[in-house]
Amino acid sequence: MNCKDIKENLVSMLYGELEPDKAKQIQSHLKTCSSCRQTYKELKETVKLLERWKDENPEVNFLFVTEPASIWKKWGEKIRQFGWKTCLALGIPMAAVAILLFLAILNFRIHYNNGEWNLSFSLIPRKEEIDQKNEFTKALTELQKETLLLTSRMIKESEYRQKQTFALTLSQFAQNLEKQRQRDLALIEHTLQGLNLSTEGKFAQTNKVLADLIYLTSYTMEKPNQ
Amino acid sequence: MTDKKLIELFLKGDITAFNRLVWCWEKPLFNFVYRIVGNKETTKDICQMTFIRMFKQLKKLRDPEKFSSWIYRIALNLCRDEFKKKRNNHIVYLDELLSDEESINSIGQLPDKNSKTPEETYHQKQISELLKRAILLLPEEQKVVLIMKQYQGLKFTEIAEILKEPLSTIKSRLYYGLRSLRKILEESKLNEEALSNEL
Repeated sequence: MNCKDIKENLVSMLYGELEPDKAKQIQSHLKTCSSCRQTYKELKETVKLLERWKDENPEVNFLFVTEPASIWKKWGEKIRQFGWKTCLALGIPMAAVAILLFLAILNFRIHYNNGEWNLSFSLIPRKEEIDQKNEFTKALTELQKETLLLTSRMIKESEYRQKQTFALTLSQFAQNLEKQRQRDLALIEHTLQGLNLSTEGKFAQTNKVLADLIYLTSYTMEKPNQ
Repeated sequence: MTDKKLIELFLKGDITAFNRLVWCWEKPLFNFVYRIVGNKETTKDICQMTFIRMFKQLKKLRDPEKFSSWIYRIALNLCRDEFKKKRNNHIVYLDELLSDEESINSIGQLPDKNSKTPEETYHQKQISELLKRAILLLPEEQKVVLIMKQYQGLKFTEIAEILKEPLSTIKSRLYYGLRSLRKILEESKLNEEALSNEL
């Protein structure tokens, strides 16, 4: 093996990829050839120095492909991830607590008494609360009935009064109208009488003038004949 | 769960399997791309595009056993596209504004190896930065092989398959890559004492 052919084998030996037989040949050559020995030493040193450059963390999320997975699929994946037993051991108590909390929220109470806030919740509503609620409902219903009755009475009363007022007003109006009519008739009668008298006087005067005129005419006609 | 199993699940419609695949591969892929391009923002973009392409084309992968080669090839092609774009548009990354001379000279200022924890962190970062800059100066073909072998832990046969090159070419590129790197480190006034201290 000559020095020219050795370079490929040197790098193979450097990275432990040389067959044992060939490695022995190279080793024996290195023992005799100081130049190749020096080269190998330098290569080894360089490789060792290169090892000082450590890998770095990318510090970035390159790609996160997601699919629009259904809720059931996601839960299925989680169950597969944690295992059935773990899921049941954690899930059942959590579900129970969630249900209890939900029921408790329905009867959640906040009290303020003499500057103190009290917070309480219970699964079942208290008996006095239920009684109090029932009494209140009953009283409210009765009050509503009374109010309804009173309102209907007021309406009826109002209607009756309205009718009476209307009838009274109507009769007063009729009376006034009758009086006015009587006055008008009297006035017409009086006017007619005055007119009659005046006309009769004027007729008499006219008759007298006509008689005088007839007399004068007859006198005038008789005089030339004489 | 193996890559093959995850791919099978994904092809059956399990999206979470794809996410797991991404989670498994994000760190190695990120470090692979970062060591090639040397810029974190570009690395993030390339990794993102790699995973998108993986999502779209995974159905076309005939042999799931060759998934790792396949994904490295995608990432590498995207890196090459990025280099082309950068060359055509004359893009300079902000962290490259430090001149080569400055960056290489700074290799000589290796801190003491036996430093305490906060200093050690700083020391580690500095070493990583210096090595990054030195590797970026290598020709692309040597750099890719060196990163695949040294940091991704791929076998020579796997690298040959990804790059579709003969095995001897891969080994030769690695040999010359390591030699060039050594030369760059030496030319950067990295004194032997500091280097021997590191080693």
